[in-house]
Order: sequence, then structure tokens, then C-alpha cells
Amino acid sequence: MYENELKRIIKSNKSILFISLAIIAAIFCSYQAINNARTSIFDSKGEERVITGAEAIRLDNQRWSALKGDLTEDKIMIVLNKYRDSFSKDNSSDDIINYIPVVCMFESISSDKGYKNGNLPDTVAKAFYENRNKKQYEILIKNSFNKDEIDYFDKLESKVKKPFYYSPNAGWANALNNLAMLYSILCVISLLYAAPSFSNAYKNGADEVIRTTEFGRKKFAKAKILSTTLFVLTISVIATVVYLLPVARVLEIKGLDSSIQFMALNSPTPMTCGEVLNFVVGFGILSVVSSTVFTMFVSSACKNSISSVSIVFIVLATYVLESFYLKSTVKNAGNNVFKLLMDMTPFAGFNIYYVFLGYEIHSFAGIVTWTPFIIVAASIISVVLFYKLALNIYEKHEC
Amino acid sequence: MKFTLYGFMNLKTVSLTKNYRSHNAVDKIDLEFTPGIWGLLGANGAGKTTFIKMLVGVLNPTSGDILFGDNSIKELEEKYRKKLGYLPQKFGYYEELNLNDYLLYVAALKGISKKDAKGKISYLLEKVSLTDVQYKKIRTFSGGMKQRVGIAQALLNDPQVLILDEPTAGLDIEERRKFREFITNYSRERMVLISTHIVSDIEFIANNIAVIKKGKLVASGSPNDLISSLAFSAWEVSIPVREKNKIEQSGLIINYHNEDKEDIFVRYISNDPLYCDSERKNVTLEDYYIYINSREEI
Repeated sequence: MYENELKRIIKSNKSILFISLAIIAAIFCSYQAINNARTSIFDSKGEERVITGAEAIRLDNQRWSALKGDLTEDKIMIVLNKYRDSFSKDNSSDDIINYIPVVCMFESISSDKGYKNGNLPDTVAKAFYENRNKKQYEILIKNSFNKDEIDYFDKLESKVKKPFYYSPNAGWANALNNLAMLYSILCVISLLYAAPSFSNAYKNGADEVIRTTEFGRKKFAKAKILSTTLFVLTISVIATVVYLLPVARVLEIKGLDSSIQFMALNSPTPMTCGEVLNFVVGFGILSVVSSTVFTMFVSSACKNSISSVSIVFIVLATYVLESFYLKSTVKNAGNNVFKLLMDMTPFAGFNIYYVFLGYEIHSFAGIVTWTPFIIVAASIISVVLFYKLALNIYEKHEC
Repeated sequence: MKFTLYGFMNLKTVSLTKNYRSHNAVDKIDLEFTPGIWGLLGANGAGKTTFIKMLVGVLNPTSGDILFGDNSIKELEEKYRKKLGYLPQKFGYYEELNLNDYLLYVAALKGISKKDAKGKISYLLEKVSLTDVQYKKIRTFSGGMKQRVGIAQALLNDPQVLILDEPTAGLDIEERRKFREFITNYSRERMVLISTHIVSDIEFIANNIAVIKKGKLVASGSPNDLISSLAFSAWEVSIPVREKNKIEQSGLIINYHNEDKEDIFVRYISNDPLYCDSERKNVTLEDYYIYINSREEI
């Protein structure tokens, strides 16, 4: 039955469409990841020329190789001096361009005025990590995190490797952004793909014959859900490979050894860029799978495809709205029930990259939990829960 | 109770009822189906399809039960469905599959091994005259061809209980004749229930008839028993058109056709002839059925 169901799935026009859209999305996101990179070079006359794409990435990696290694406060002091010098020279920014990854950090931990006119004190470098901690504390207080939550972030922060490690990683921030976008696209197309799974058969009468056969209830529903999920999982993995292959060819793989703090200085996430990449891939694919199972559950309960698509998209739209709007308007999302519910939706995993860059926790009744733990647990639970619910609903459905 | 390959177990409904908010679609039907062909007659909206859906387990009754042998079909579940073949009124299929793949798919759901399925499919396709199109997609078929696909899938597991809801819809005269012949041969040690509002589908082949009207069972028995229960006779006569109303007041017009501008040829049922030149005819099942449907008190 599984073999027949898989064959049926693969032969269908909508599967061919799904595969095509997934591959196109992967190619598009990969293209964006590489071609959105831009950097400048200055000719002998001091005129600026903008370079884009793979060439820009290679050039930046070459320039930034001077920073490779642990980012000690002595190294930061060297960069700070070069930064000050760049304000005294005539428009020539050649030298400072080689230290951009660290120069960007000055903006995060110093006053805006001092940064813009090059007037930064030595403590910016000599007490770099201390200043960073102060800045983190300011952010936490500003966002009304309570003492338990601040303590939790302190514990998380204590696991961050210091000094930070840097290896030229030009393009990886953009690549991770586009990878998150790829998974969000895959989630959407998997919703559209899975929504008619049961509801279409209810509507066109195919289900009526099926449920009068010996295995036409639970066993059939299991075969349907598992086959569809396996298919979606396989295509998601293929799309990921299609995305990463060209990206990995152009970008420096060793750049993934850099601390994630080179993408978001004040992030308390104790990981390298490579570890974050692994989690983005894992959580991303998991979110596509859990979205698919959730959608099939909705499909099993709906009389037609339009209803199932509508319901799933309302949930997805609510999550997206919460992710982009609520986040910026609500202080201390730590004990926000609505935010917790949204982070427990099957889709939450595709946004995990941004979770690692920020201060994302949930706390209820004194228990504080880092959001990625909630997302992964909720995704796994939702796969199991909605699978079982779909089986139950399908078995009880009446024609 | 043990299942045996050789003994047929009767299918029985006990006070079977299905209520909806606005009406009773099926109202306390007690019926026992024995081997042979059963015709289920009723007008559109009488409750035939609702009744059948409960028999095949795709609709739950509001009250009452359905027994296969001594056991409720709810308890038997897969064991009952293993013996069941069903063609719904609105036959649906997977559009992306060709005929052969669709039948293999259904065969797998019916627990038939791939090897056995291929042989059965080959045999059935020949019986329903669809061998030439087995690798074409079902969505390209005509209505009659799709109906034959539906009949073929219902027979895949060689069911002991075969339930067909309006099976001849879309079939031409020759196809209907072949269908009746096939079903008659098939029904020797099996129960076949054919639901229809077309009397000619079952008139000659059914061993027993059940008539449903407004959700209730109003009659059941062999065709001869049902016809004999009518106290009327059938008559045929040629009359002026203006006399038509007179017959309708005293008897029941079964059928008529125009003979010329002024006269019509009428078949009617009545205790006594309404015109002295009326010719007495044998009452048919169609006469009986039209009579039952026309009477409000039944």
C-alpha cells in the first residue's frame, strides 16, 4: 500500500509542480545569496567601484584574512587605531576596508556620535568584551526582562567562546538569510501541496470507495500521511542541497568556524556560524515536515480543499504577522502567551536563524526556556500529535 | 462466529434509523438480505443512498444496527469490509492514475497481493470491456466507461456482499444487458444489492425487492409476491385525449402515448376496466412501483 501510494504521489501533476517550485526556489535563493553580495574597490584616483556577486565575496574574504584568528582585545586595539586613522586621511578607505567585520562591531557597542566621527576611546577595544556585556544588559533592561530571565541569558552568555573566533566569512550572513527564506517558501508550497490530500478525495467521492475496503481506514490514512511526508522531506533535502552546493562553492567553508557574534554582536547564542547553519537546515526541514503533517490533519477534517488551505494559511499568516510585527512592538516577549503559541506552531522552525541572533526566551511560572528548545520540541510533538489526530479524524469521517 | 469460505452469512438491519435535523432520512428499517439479487427501489430522495451508505459503513446510523451473521459490522470492521464490494452513486477516483494503476491501488487496499491482483484485473477488464484502455487515464473516459470502472473495482475482492448504488447510470442498452447477465451469474452464492429508481434494471433479475419511500420500508418480497399484493389489474385502451382526466380520477395512469391528433393509448391500473374495450394486461413491477409511489397513505 505504501508503494502504491508513493507511486500515485510521484505520478501526480501536483507533485511535479511541487518539485519544480522547490527547485526553482532553491536556485533563486542561492542566486540571491551570492549575487546580493557587494563590496567596493578604490582605484588609484580614489574613485569607488562597486563589485557584486562571487567576485565581491572572494575579494572581501581576501581582505578580511588579516583578522583571522581569536579576536583578542589587542587585535581590536589595532583595528581601532586604523579606524581612527581612516578619518584623518583624504577619502582613502583602502586600509580600513580590510577590517570591516570588527569596525561594524564598534557601532554596536559605542555611542553613535563617537562612531560617526571616529572619536572612540581606547576602552572600546581594551574593554571590548566588558562593554559588550554592558550593552547586552542595557538591551535586556530596555526590553523589560525580569531578573530570572536576565540570569538565564547570563548563563547562556557564559557559554559563548571568548575571545570570539574569526575566519573570513563574507556572504554567510546573506546565505543564512536566504536559506531561512527558502524554508519559508518550502513551507508555503508544502501547505498548498498537502492541503487537498484528504479533502479532495472527500469532495470527488474517491474516498467513499476507499473507506469500504479492508485497509481503507487507519492503514490507508497512515500510508497516505507517511508517504506524503516522506516525499516532502525528500524534496526539501534535495532543495537544500541544490541551494547549498553553489553557495558552498563560492563562500569560504572555513568562514563557518567564526563565532555567530560576527553576524549579531550582542547575541548570547554560544555557537559558531557553522553550528547555526546546521540548526537552520535541521529546524528548517523539520518545520517543512511538521507543516505538512499539520496540513494533512486540517485536510482530514475539512470537506474541501479551499477550507483546508484557508485554515492553514490563516495560521501561517498569524505566525508571520507575529514574527515581523509583534516582535518589534512588544517589550518582554518572555511571558507573552500569544508569542509562545506562535513559537509552538509547526512553522516556527523556518525562522530559527533570527531566533539565534536575538534574545528569544519564554518564561512562565519562573521557568525560563530558550526559544529554540521550545521550537524543536513543539515541532516534534506536533508531528506526532497531528499525525495521530489526522488518523483519528479520518477514521471517523462520514461520507 | 467463524467466517467460512463456503457459508454465506446474512446481512440484517435492525431498526436502522438515520435522523437529520429536518427529517428522518431512514426510519426504522428492518430487513434481512439473503443470497441472491436484491433490488432496492425508491424515488429520488427516498433514502436509498443513505440506507446503503450505512450498510457499507461510511455513514453512522442514528440508532439501530447492522448485523453480518451475528455480529455488528461496527465490531467486525475490517473483517466485514474484506467481504464487501461497493459502487457508490457518485463514483470518484484518483485523476492521476490510469485504469490499470487505479485497480492495482484499490486491490492493495483490499488486501490482494500484486500477483493475484494482476490476474483479477485482467479478467474483470475483459468482463467490462475495458481491456483496450487499461493504460489510459480514467479522467479521459466517458461516463459509461467510468461506471464500468466502478463496477470492476467493486468486484476485485470477489465480495460476498456486493452493493451497487445506481450501477447502470450512463450505460447504454447493450451495456446494461451485459451488466444484468454478469450480475445474475455472480449472485449465485452471494448477496447483491442493486439500488435503483429504474425498474427495468432489476425487474427480471432480482430475486427480492425492497421498496423505500420517505425513509421507510413500505414493501419487501419477491417481485411476484409484490405484484400479487396489488388488488388491481392493468389495462390498456385507446381513448380520446379529453378522457384522460376521467381515468386519473378513478384509477392510475402508468403510461400513455399519442396515437393521433385526437386519441391517446393508455395503460392504467384499476380494480375494474374504466372503458369496456380496455384490454386486461399482466401487472408488472413497474406498475406496482408507480402505484406505491403515487399513494400518499403508503
